[in-house]
Amino acid sequence: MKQYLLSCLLSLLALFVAGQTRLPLIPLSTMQGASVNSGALLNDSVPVVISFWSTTCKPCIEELNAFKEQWVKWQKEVSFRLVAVSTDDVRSLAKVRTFSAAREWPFTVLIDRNQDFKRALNVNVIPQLYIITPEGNIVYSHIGYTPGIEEKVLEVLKGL
Amino acid sequence: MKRYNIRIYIALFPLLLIINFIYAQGNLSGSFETNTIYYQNDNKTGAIAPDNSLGSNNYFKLDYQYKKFKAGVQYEAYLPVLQGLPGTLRNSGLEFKYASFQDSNLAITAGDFYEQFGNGLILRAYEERSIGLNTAMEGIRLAYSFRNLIRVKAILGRPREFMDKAESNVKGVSLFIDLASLLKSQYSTAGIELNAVNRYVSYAGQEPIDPNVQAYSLNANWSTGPFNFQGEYAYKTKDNSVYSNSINKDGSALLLEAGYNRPGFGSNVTFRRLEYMQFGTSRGIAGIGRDLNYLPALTKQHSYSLAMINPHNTMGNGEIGGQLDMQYQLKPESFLGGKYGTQLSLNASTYYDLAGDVSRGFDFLSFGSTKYYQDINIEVEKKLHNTLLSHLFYSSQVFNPIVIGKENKLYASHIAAGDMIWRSMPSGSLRLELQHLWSRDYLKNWAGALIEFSRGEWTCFAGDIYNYGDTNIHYYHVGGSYSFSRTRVAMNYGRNREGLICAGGVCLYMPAYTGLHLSVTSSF
Repeated sequence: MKQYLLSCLLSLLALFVAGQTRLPLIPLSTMQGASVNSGALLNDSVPVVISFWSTTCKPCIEELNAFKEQWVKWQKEVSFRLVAVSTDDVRSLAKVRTFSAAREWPFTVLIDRNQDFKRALNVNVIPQLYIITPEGNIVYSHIGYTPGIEEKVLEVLKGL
Repeated sequence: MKRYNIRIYIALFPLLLIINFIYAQGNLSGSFETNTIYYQNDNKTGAIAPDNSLGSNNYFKLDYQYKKFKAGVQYEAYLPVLQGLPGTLRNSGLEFKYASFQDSNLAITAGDFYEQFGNGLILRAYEERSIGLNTAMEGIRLAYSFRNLIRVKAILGRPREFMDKAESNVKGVSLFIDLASLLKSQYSTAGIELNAVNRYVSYAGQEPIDPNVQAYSLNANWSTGPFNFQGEYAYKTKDNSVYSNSINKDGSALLLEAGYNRPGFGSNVTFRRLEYMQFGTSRGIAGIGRDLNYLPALTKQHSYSLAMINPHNTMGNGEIGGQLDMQYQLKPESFLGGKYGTQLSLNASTYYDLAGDVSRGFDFLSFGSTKYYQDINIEVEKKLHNTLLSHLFYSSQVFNPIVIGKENKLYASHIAAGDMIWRSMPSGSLRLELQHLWSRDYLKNWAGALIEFSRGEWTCFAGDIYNYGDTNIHYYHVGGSYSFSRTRVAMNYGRNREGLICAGGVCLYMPAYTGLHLSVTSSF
């Protein structure tokens, strides 16, 4: 019984304490195999949208397709960088290249091969999206994708 | 009752003060996850509820970072573990704890850590909660990068085995050289990675068993323009273990990949050969939570439930085969692509046993006579209207139950599925999914349907898959979820069929169960 109570208490704690505020620095890799540190995502001095996805996650792909549809229009309205971080492991890693090439995604795709970046940001389910300021502060995040939620992302980006 | 509440507030006050202090000095982050099922007996499926009718897997993770230093813990509570997952996951404890230092070149970790060398052919320590898998290592990890051109990693530790540690000590070293950067090539990337792992398990018996098993791998990748190539060869010294049928034999693995990708078209072909490459955390039985390396099934991972009924399970002691993946976009505003364009996908894979035997040896590139798995999958994704998206899927599969320890025979099946998503702007959607599986083997025919409605943060669904060829059982589900910021709460009620559940390329045989499932995940 004590353990159930402890689990309940921890869940409440998780719901009510303030959120993670800084971007963790973790090595990622490009689709060509080059190494990139997550800190380098901030080099352009513009806000960064990070979306965790995988080739087997339908809502993740819907979300990224929605960004692609709005890409040209949004880039005229606000300056930001979108990074789609694939959590595919060796089993489906090769499909990340074919997938993003065929869909002509205009944004950056990076690979989190052993899910170190995902763990560092405490992502348990995907899709999960973060907005990071050029200073590395996390100012917004959401879990899951429902059509139209990308408008909320645009609204937050415009407010930065 | 009132006095009891006051005591709780008094007890929590110092905790909140500490949290406030910690926040002021550094960065505290973490997550909570629970998967709790209230089980019921179900005469129709033969599902039997456990004694207390409950299974509950809980994880609470905390990380604290102050400048270049970081420390964290993960508390796990199995109250008790969910049915079907390893029963050795029991009770609770701080199962993951670490302290680390990291700057731009150097990373040092003491305590528990995850790691992967190359493609994981000789080492992968990772977590997959949905199947109760965690093979984190406890020990020391060092990583150093020389101007990002040469990267060295060294590990020394004991792998986790459920709520305990394995009986082995593992040492490993990995060296990566970024050849393209060294040669200042602007048009291509290329690198080589050399890995070595030693597993030591003491042995005091009379058999000629070496307590040390060594494993080595060489990985090379090259990417230029639209082309990319990757190859990895691994070799493992003689390993007299239960999972290798106590045959004192060495092992090897070869993985080759080639791809051609340009805007609108992507293709990749993979070949893999495994010979006695199972590598356990001890000399006992390998499998879920007891593997030192990672040998996933290199086949398509399906999202339609009827296409997942008979998934392939890698035969680590002998398998040869490959996979082809192609994706093509019919351009928008073209004759075939229509106004919004059309996405076409083709995926096929086939796997056989190795030709030869242990006594005379195995042929290097010949396929054996036993087919393990074969599938061909075709998908069409088309946007019909600004608010209407359609998806059609066909799969032809051949499955051999020998891969899950049953008889050597072939089950053939054909699966067709389709779904339509209708978007009601600004934030609503309705999804209808229909599936059918045709087969003359095993459980014969299945049909399935699902309807899902989403609006804002809310989603609800109802679905059923129905076996009408053999058992005449409905596996119905109804449920919903609510997501807010970094928190998601989901609840569903229904029947789950027995069979293989695969996550991250590793499969687990689950018994049938019926019950109410609550899932909460939150990060902060």
